[in-house]
Amino acid sequence: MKLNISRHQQVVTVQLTETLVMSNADTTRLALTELTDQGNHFLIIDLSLVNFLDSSGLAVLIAIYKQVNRQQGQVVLLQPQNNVRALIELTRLHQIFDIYEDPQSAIHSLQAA
Amino acid sequence: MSPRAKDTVANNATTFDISDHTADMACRWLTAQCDDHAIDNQVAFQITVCLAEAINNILQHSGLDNNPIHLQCSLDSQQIIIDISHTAARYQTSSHTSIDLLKESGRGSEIMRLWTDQIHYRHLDGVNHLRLLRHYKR
Repeated sequence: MKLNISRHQQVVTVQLTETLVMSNADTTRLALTELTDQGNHFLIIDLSLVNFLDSSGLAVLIAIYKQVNRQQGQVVLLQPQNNVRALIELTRLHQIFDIYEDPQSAIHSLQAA
Repeated sequence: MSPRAKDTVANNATTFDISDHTADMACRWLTAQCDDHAIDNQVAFQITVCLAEAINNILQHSGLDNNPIHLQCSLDSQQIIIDISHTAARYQTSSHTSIDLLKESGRGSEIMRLWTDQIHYRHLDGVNHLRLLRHYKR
């Protein structure tokens, strides 16, 4: 899993690519944890390039959500593809994650947090 | 480890053996099957997620060792049937219909239940069989 990382002041956008599944969940979780351990507590997880996700991938998102919450931070999701969004909604995770279709709106929401 | 795969077609069904101990190859295989049969993208995604969850459950809970997981996919104009069989230990899947939103595990069975029309488990002659059935309209 390749992570593309960009920064806008204190907000860090992490773009995940292709799949987030059991076989790459641990490495992805580790990379995201390192990012939060470095003091990045306002994260946008860009899912626009993720075309397949399973429950192991959902577990990574939840783990990061809990980590940043412990640090009084916040994580939001950006532009999930329709099928990925359907899985997020099926498992009711849209009740804990704010989901944005526009990057600027996501950034503004975290800057206002 | 180099994955070993066997892909054969017989009696309107396609079979596939995976031994790479991930669901990745199996999911790519099923996606290709769905593409070949012009299955709706949404249905293909959903049944492929269910296959991933089923295989992940086997890998996590059954101690598969080096035995392959055997897959068979049958498609017609109204339904897709995926038969998964393996000789690893039997396991009990979660039957929870509602879990803590912040719990990191336990969603696989719920996803399979919600995105298939039938799930059937059977243990016969030392082999565990799981059938996932999903109806669809072309």
